[in-house]
Amino acid sequence: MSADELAPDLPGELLEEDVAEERPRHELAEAWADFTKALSIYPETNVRVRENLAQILDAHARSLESSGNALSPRSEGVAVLFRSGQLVLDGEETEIPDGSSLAWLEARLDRASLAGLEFMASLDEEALLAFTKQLLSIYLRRDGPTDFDALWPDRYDGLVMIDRRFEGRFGVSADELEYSGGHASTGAAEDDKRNLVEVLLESEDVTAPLARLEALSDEEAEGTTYSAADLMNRIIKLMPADAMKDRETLVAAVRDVLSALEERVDAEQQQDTLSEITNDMTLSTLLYSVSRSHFTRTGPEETDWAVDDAIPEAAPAKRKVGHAGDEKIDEDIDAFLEEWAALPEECSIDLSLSHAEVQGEEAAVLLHYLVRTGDTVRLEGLYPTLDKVLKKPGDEVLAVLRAYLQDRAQKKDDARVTIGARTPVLDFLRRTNRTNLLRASGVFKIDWVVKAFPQYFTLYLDSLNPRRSQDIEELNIVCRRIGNDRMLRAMGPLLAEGGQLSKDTARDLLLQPDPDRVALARLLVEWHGASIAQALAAFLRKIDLDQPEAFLVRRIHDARYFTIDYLRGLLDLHLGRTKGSRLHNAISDVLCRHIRGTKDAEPRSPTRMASIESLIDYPSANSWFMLQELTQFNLFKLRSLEPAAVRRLARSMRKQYKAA
Amino acid sequence: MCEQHLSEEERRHKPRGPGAFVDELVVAMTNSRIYSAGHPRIESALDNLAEGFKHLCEESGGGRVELGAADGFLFFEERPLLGATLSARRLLEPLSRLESGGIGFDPKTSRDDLRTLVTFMSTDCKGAEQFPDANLLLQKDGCETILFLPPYEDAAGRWGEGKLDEEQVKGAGKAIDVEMTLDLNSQLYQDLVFTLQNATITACKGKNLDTNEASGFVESILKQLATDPKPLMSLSRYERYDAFTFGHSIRVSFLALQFARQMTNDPVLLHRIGLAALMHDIGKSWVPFEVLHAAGRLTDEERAEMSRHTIYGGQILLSNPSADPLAVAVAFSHHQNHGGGGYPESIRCSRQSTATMIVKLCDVYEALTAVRPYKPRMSPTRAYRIMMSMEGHFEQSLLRRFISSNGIFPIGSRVRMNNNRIARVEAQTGDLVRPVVVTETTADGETLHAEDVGRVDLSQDPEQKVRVEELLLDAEM
Repeated sequence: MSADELAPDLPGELLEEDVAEERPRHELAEAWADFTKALSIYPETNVRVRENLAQILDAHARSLESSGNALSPRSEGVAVLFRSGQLVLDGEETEIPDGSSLAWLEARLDRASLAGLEFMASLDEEALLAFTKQLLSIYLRRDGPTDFDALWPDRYDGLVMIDRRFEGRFGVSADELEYSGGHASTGAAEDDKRNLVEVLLESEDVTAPLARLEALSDEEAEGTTYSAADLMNRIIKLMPADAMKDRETLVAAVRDVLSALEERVDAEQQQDTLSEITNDMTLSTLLYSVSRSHFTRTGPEETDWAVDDAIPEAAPAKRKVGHAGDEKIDEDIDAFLEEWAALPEECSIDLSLSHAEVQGEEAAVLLHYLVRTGDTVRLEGLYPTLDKVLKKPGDEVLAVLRAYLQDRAQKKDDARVTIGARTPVLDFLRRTNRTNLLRASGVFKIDWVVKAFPQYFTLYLDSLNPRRSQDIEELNIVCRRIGNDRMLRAMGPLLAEGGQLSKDTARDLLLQPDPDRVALARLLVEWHGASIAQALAAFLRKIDLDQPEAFLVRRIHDARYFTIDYLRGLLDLHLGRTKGSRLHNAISDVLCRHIRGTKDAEPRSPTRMASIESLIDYPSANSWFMLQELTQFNLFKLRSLEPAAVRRLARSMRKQYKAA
Repeated sequence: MCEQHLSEEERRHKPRGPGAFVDELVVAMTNSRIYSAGHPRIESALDNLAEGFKHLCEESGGGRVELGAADGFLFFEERPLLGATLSARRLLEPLSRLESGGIGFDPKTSRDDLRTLVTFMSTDCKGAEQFPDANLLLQKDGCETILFLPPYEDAAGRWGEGKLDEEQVKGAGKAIDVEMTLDLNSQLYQDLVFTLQNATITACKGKNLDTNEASGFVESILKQLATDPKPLMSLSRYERYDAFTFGHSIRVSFLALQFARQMTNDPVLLHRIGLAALMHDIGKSWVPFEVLHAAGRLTDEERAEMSRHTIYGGQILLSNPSADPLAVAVAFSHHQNHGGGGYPESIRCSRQSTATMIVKLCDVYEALTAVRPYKPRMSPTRAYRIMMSMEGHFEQSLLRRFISSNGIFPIGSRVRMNNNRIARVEAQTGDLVRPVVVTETTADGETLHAEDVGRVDLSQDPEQKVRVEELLLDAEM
């Protein structure tokens, strides 16, 4: 597998998540949709319902806050509107994705003759619950009124229902349409209305069928009780908002309804069931049933009215529950047997728990949930179940893991695992100490690690088994190919990830010293500091640094005396990042610690004596005080603290000891 | 409740009668345990219940309606309702506790009265020790038209005395096998329905789903199948129309285990397959009611929502830290096709396991051959031909094996022989048209003489002197 096949990220391209822009109104709309859907499934005491409700209140409060400014008062309410697959907030339209909760909610509002809701500042939880239950109940009904007042006899505190009839410039004034006490229409319609009926009556496509309907009624009734405007009113009341988006659509919709109504009236009259077309109820009923067939999703042939309103030809035969017998086997048995025999005979069907396929399938499904569910649904069993499956992974499981980590595109966009989805898998492996599976799955090949560096480098280190020489050899190759310069340049970004590699692992990575890993050692010391001093000292000792300043690691074996500054300095010196003179203070510190530390146990050991002697070469304040301790000189007798003075003092002290 | 989505025709021909009434009552009771008063699901269930009661009243000639209960059975007009009984443990248990012989309904029983009854029973008749207390509590809540009846063995009234016996049952005109094995199997079926109802309630309430109880019953299924598969497989060909997913899931588990048993002896694997099959449609608990009950064809959005039951199923099972990964995988994948496609979309980076394929096969087969009230049930042969034509859905060699395992005349089914005998299929032989049968009665239903009763391996008759002529429906339960 080549590095390209693994499609790594390019070096330096860090994965940053976009900070979500605050859009409280959108959040309110989403929360409202989620809440409505949740209430259709769960009882209102369910935690999911309660959480959604809390989200509504929170988003609502933030929406109200964000709508006010210094010059204008805070808005009294927040309107959430739906219009033909668009979500309308503050006049801005956003497309509603198919299959989303918003699309689901829009369908319910549509059936309930609503364009949306205005959430007032006095929003009441109980009112919202009651409203939602009514909304869901309306959706369940297949027949029934569509009139707004009949659908919504009650009012709900803190909520203003916005009916979906009038919007845009084809709204009509309330007087003309006997608008009977509904609620505010959309803001634009209030301000900019035209006479909808007049628009329609300008078109011959509408007036011609109207005239014919009037003529039909005249034949039957003594007098008409409806007018053309009356009929138009009724049709418009039943019309969905998207039929009103422009003149042509409106006229076409009304023309279709009138045409269907003509046919229906004709048919009813022929059946002799329609006694008076002027009968208000009959007209309403006919209009309703005809309009529903035009304005609902299901086609005319599928709606109930076609059955319910139809005049039955005969009483339906009483059907027995169940049936008289199984379908007789009138199939050609021989033909069937031939088809069956043509199926491949069983070959390698193996129903075995230990078979890799079961585990592979389990891993694939569980990883799907890990990646796609995120924090939106609490799945308490996901981690432990996935952990169980990954305990002893076979090849199939590793192949599944590789597929997810490779982030391969799938057949359709919806199934694509994006780069952001790789993170949950890596995160899971890290949290469950299963980073070794990254290597086992084949993801961490040398080429890929080098190319992707510094991304995933910490994970790569964590996945190694430092006690396995092959892994260490591989690490050496990786470090060599990355190179010291690149490793050091990546120190900044990598510093943040230090906590992800344990101290024990860091120590283990220093076990088998190699000059190729000096830069890595430098990184490790940044991550873990003094806690890995012992391992680092041993590492430095064994790689046999040629700098003179390295004499201490060769001389002193007890890493307790080394300061991290010294060890870090040595590494920097070797990497060319500093000069030897910069280490003098650090060396002096180490010498002093050693001298002090060995005072009781080995006061005259050659190593200690050597350290004392070395003080001469590394004068510093610490060296001076050390000498003080050793010689018990009176400070005030010295005239100077210059290095030269220290040197002279040390020389004289040496003479004393030698003499002693 | 987990109802299957009904087509318009199914909805129009939804069965009426006492069995259906009991089903609606159980649905209403179960929904009342989940949702608060006034929830659309409860209101809808009450609508159906009231409608069912109205029809029942009409059937009874406008008189009083009495639903009896005795010995773990429900009765209507002295006729045992085995079908309804299998799904009504939730109703039978409180009646048993109250020592009540059933429920009586006045013809004037209103929707509100039914609501009062449902609410009361959904609390397991809290506050009542015996049936008179229950009646007092009903009256206190304003319901005077419904009464809990005295025990069955009470000599007063129309209830006879003594325990149910074979003759009483047969006297009702139904050839119900009342041997102990069937009793045990019926009880098992009833327990499975109850368990799945509880699982749905738990899922709806958003609580962790514990599958231990269901697991226990899988053991019982395996035990029964090992002892004698006929009775359970008879139940898997349960004639009575069943609109609920529970019956489907239970029957899929019977089929899956019977099939899997022929491929492995591994008890752990069989157990896991059984549990996975039982739970494969648990995700429908989270499909909105409006989608499950949408009239006419589903819209694209509704279809998409319905298809999410596979994702929901895995989520429900994963609410428990001890989830079985195979059950999760099966719930998620059982609508994915062997050759790719299906739903839900996911990274297809592993093969579909044989276990999942088995459940998928049984799921489709059961759905195809399930009873529909308005037309004859599809024969196994036709179902197989449809399955063979579904390109890419099934692993072909496994399908072949499934067909030979299940047979044209499935185990447990009754067949009419060319020698005018009625027999029950006992085992498959590898020859799809010549199973092993056990003759039971004459074609007219008369008991055979002892010497005529016997086990016949039709595959051993090369000349086919005796052969199966017709697959029969089991008696209406």
